[in-house]
Amino acid sequence: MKNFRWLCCLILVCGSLLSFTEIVDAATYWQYGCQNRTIQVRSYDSSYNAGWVRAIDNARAAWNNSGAGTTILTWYNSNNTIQAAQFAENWYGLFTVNSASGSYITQFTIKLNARTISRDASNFDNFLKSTAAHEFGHAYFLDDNPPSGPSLMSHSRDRNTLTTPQAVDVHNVLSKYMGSLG
Amino acid sequence: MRRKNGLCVLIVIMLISLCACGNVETARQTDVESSTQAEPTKQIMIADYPMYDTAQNLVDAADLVFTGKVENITYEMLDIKMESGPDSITGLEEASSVPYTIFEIKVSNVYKGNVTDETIYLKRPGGNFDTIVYELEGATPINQGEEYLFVAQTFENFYPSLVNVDQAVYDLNAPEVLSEDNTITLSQILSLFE
Repeated sequence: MKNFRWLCCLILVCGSLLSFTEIVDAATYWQYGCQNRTIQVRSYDSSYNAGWVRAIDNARAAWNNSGAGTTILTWYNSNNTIQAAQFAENWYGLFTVNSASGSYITQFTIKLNARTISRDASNFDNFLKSTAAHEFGHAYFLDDNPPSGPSLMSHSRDRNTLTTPQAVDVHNVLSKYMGSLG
Repeated sequence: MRRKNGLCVLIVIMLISLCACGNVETARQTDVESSTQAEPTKQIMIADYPMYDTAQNLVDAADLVFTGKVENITYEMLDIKMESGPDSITGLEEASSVPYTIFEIKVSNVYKGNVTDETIYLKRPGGNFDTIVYELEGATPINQGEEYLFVAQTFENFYPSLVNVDQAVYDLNAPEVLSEDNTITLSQILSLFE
């Protein structure tokens, strides 16, 4: 009888742990990401003014130097594109999964809204870098507004100052790719 | 002996739990794969919007705040690039169209903004297009036949947009509802116009 009670308690504790794991996982990751941490985006240096090229380069460098094992390269023939212009919208950035194989993104588009970024930035280079780097984070399974922070993926971050993947972002990418993706 | 049995049971349960934890993502991936085979292709969009701390800041960011009933819902691919030719800020010549849901709303009350028409057409990214369903991650539900308060931004020559994904739509039947991503309530917004 005593053993039976003990067993019941253990099952309850394990069940709770499982539920908790699921909640944390759901809030940290969204359902899509690239299969590998090395990804390519279509070359953009001839499409944009110098300031925009520099800021997007800096956003790539922020991930490439983050310690998360991520590399974002440019290639003239990549299907993944970055489009920056003044859009009739209130978002700063929009990440669209154009195609996927299961959970793995095979093609994505990032749109950066020059209208809202120019309107709200007090430090333009940082604001744009933060926005572009945030969108790259979605390519690595990272969801918006993780439960612990500070995070590049938080909508309430100060985009004028928080421009690089934070410890929690690096940890989450490493956990995802070193853990469940192997 | 009993203690040994108990210990064995404990070890077995913990091993099963650990395996289950490791398989959470795998199970979810399998769900996605099987669902994409049976249903229309699902494409997800996720947007980085400004967030607002207070009802006042939210309303200040909008130039159109109104209540109304959703009469109809349609879907359009829209070119939302505001300038034709090279963008005057970035230099980009062309951008791809974006799938949108268009809400046809019969206006009840206008709290902010100049509205002369009885009907407002509001756009939000995402929508159903034959074999492809575009979903905007975290979007507040908007249902045909229901009444809401909308917090929006207008554009010349384009449909107005909601100011963000989770603070711009309020069910008129739930004035005090708070959510994980939004602590602003309908009552707080309406109190600004009393």
